[in-house]
Amino acid sequence: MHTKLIFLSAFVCCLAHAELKIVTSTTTLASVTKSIAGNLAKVTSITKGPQDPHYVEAKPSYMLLLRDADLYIANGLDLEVGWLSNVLRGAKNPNILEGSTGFLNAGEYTEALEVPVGKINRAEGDVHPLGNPHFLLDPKRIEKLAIAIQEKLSALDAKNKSIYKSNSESFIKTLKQKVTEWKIRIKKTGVKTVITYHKTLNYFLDFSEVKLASSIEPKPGIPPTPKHVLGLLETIRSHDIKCILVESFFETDSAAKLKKDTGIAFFSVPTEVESTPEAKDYFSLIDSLVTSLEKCSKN
Amino acid sequence: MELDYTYGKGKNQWNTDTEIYNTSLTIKWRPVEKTIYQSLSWTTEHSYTDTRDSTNGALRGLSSWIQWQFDRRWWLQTRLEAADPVKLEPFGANANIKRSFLIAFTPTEYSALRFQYDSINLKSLPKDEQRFMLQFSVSMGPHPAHAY
Repeated sequence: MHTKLIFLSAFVCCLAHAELKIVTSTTTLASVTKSIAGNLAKVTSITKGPQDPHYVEAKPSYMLLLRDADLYIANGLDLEVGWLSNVLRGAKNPNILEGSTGFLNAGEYTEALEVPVGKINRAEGDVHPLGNPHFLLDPKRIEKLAIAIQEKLSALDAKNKSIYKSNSESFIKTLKQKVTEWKIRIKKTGVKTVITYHKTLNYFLDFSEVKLASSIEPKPGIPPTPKHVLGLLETIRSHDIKCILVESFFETDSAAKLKKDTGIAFFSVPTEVESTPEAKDYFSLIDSLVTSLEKCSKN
Repeated sequence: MELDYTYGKGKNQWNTDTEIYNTSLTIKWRPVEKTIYQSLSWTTEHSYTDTRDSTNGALRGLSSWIQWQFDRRWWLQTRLEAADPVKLEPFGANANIKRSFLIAFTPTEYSALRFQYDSINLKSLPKDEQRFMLQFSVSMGPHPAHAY
């Protein structure tokens, strides 16, 4: 009888500490989710910070990770189109399939930029039919997502509903304060136009009211051609472009060549949490991007 | 890492059984940072075919190749193939051997240009064959990730 009681109390103890298992597509989504879930969930990202989320090979270890997950949070807008369906299928966990209660598509909580109109084809490069998927880099678009995550967590773990609500409110409050600070810092830089490598930073530029003069890639996903680089030299010489921002997962040789020929500065910048040592969480990620604009203004 | 084992059995032209055993091991590596610019893949495959009533009886083959992507659109590959009857010393002096080396450039997702050198040592021929090949291939169809 005594042994049975010990066993029962151990079982009750473990149930009380049972945490949700959440898997996200990116480290940025994981960071936002951790802020809301607190210590009530174990949050793991499939991609690592420095990894380009467009190019991920569906490994069996991802399927094992998803097999026991209670919730999968996808970036959506087709960012994971090349690998997510294979990973979800291999996981054999019906609870986290698209449309199930354990699946959250973050992209549904924003209005995407650059949604292509008309017929699209490969001649335009690696176009995302649902629009630019990198919306997490606009901090003004995160509030709706934070609420959606809070509601999803509350639905999956109703007894901790009040904690998720409190965490979400605290996150949004800090976010709003930070947005005001970032806006002031960005305005002070006076940076109006930049060049980037890919279109990853377009949402951040939209938030910052900074124009994109051109990209080092001639088309999304297409490496720079000599002709395009020559065109960029002309663009840099004829416009007031402060600097080139190269997403950390791309090479910097092309930007270095442009610097050599025109003197324009370039900076390798984070686009995901943990993609650089400075980008430790969502706030420091955006903070690093604002800092890069400040560095731009000094050139 | 991928480990594969295949077995097949069926009737052959002598109306006896042919059995095929195939084992392969593939090791792939790609860095987390600058993912699209480098990768390495090494595959080794061993095959064993037992065709009863054929002249040579059981045959075995071994092939191993390493593919190294050293830039976004450039690849190097080296490959070794050896085959011989099982009754001989395994892959010894009498084995048929082919060595290949190639460099490939993929200007677009749908095209590839490759230059390949093969050195083929067949025991049935008096001397080795040296072969150079320049190949340009174009493929058609949707981009793998999207429906367009």
